[in-house]
Amino acid sequence: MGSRSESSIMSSSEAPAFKARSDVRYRTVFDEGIVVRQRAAEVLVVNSVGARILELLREQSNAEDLVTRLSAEFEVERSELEADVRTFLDELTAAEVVERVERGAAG
Amino acid sequence: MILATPFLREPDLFPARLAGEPWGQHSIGLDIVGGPYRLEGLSRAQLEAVRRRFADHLVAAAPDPLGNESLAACAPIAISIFRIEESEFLDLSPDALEYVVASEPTPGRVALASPDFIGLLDLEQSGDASVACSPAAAALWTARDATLVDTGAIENFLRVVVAYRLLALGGVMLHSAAIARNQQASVFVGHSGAGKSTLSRLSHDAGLGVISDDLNALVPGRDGGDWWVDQLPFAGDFRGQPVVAGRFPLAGIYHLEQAPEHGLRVLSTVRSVALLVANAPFVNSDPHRQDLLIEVLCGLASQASAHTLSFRRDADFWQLLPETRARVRPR
Repeated sequence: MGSRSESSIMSSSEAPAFKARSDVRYRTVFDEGIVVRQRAAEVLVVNSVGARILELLREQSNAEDLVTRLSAEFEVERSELEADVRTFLDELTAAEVVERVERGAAG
Repeated sequence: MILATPFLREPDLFPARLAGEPWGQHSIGLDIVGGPYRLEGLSRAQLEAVRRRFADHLVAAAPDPLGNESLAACAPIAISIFRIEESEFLDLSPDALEYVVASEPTPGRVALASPDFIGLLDLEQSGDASVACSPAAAALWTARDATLVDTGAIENFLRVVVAYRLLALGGVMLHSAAIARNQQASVFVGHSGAGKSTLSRLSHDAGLGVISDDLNALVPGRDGGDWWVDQLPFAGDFRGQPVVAGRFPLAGIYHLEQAPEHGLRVLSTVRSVALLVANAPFVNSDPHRQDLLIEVLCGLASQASAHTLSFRRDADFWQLLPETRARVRPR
């Protein structure tokens, strides 16, 4: 498992996977995302990239897979996208919107 | 039933159906937005207590010999009041926990439990909705006779019923203060402690009409255009103070935050929706109605002007608010 201080995205086989928590609901509204954490009765707003990431995290995925898919959809330098995805996953994990999934667990 | 575990001695005996022993034979109709709502199975003491508490929201009709209001002119939502033994509830010290109403929603029903009542709300689909949301019938079990009203049991239950009914009608119940000015209603939304009751009191002292300082109903107009604010009989700290009754066109929505100086900033549509979701009690924690709630609030946010109001706890903030309703809403 990588730590937050790592500066590069791990290979797909060893990188941790993430998935949206079961009590999280979200919806895209005017290119942004509204995220509702049912258990905490909390509502968050994410930008268009964040909304797309949450959509992709309906199924578990790791950071590299997310970057690969997003780079085909957004005109952003890959290195910038990698940093943004990593930061966003950290923030979403801290906010208990997504959770790390053990490799080998059902996705 | 996990829901009732903190409140009942035997939570697995939570009623499965809307059935039980009524307190009495009396019924009364309440004229609250989305209704009428008919309380059935009341004892005489409960009937009189409800009459006093909701005196401004009684369905006007000729009484029958039992003193019941006739509701033949409309199809009310029936709420049965059943009795349950006091011993069924856990003996909770008043200091043991903050009074809460726990809910457990399923696709067709909402179960409720609290320290002094349990309830069931059966839901049905209505209109174009793809999910069951409209209350078809409801039941409340309580060990309280005359204190059914004084303890807040019936009011707490009614809040949930009305919240679901409003959502089914394409509207929403908002945790908010609503103030009438120039025959229009400004709605102030904010977390507990943001200043809604203070704002209400200041506005009242400045000669404006307080619709409610706690819960308000926002409903769309028949043409799907302008929205309206309907008074609800649920007050917060402003309970017992003079309020203005009726329905008012919505002038604007304001996210209230305390600050050293008054200020006004435009709120984006998506942040408006997020704000409204966070302040739509009961239905915002229901995963089965989540999509419907967001859809309704997107409609509201696209029609209503919304701002963040920085509030210094004096009435001068009214000088920042437009005198009349904004017709076009910026994104």
